[in-house]
Amino acid sequence: MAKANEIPKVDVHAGLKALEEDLPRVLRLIEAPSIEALGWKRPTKLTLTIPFTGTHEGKTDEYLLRLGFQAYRDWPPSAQFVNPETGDYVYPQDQHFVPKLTSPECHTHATYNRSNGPPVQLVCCSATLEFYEVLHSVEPHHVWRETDTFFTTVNAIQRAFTSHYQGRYPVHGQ
Amino acid sequence: MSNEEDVSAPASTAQDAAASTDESLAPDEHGHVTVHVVHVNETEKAHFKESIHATLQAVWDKSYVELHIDRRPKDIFQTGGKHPKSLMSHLGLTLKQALEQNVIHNFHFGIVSETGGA
Repeated sequence: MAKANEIPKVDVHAGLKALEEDLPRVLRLIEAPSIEALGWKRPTKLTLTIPFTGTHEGKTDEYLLRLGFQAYRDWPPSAQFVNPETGDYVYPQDQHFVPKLTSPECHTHATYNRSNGPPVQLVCCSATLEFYEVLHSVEPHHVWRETDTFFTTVNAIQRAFTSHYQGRYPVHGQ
Repeated sequence: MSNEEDVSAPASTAQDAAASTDESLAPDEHGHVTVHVVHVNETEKAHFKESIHATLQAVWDKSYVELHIDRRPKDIFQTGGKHPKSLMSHLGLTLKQALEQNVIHNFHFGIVSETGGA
């Protein structure tokens, strides 16, 4: 179970089992016949990719979010915006694949320096795994609950896109 | 963390508005419409009839009863669909007013617990 100031524990077997349970639940909830109907993909057993769009100053941008379920559901899914060509994220050359989200509930960092490891892309939200991995401070009422699913994560990011999207991070070197 | 929201952004998007054309938004002969609400954290949903003159606050309150889920102090009431927008700054509007003012484009709503992470 997620706790503040505790490093998440990876358990891929539990993650896969929980994802298999939660995918049909979420699809039923949003009345979607399949992940493909939503434009989602499952490139590996422990990974989902989900497209997002954001509109800023009249311009609409597309993004691809990769969710990882290696510590799920005791902990939230990993959430990383990735290069759609590679399905991966390498800083700094891929930083323009990260949206600038500035919500108090969900704030993105193309790179985030932490004291306990190498820098990471951080979707700074209490519903992402990286938030706990960097030992971010968290209010007790924001801590991931065992009843939450990855849809909590998706919804938090969707809401930030709707209200607090500020365009892309710039192309590296420009 | 505050529940105050940026009210400058449209409450829901053109995509959500387009989705609303699939169903009638007109109230029945008793002035009722069908409200659809999902609880994001609990992955539960409910549908119920509500007066077009009910406030968003009243719809939110009734949603917990219909969902059989307890309210949490940091819950947020939001629009439904792919582009959810908080309705916390509009809770005094009736469904009719919210529709007329383009705060909502249909009667699909969501309840979600606030996250943190500035």
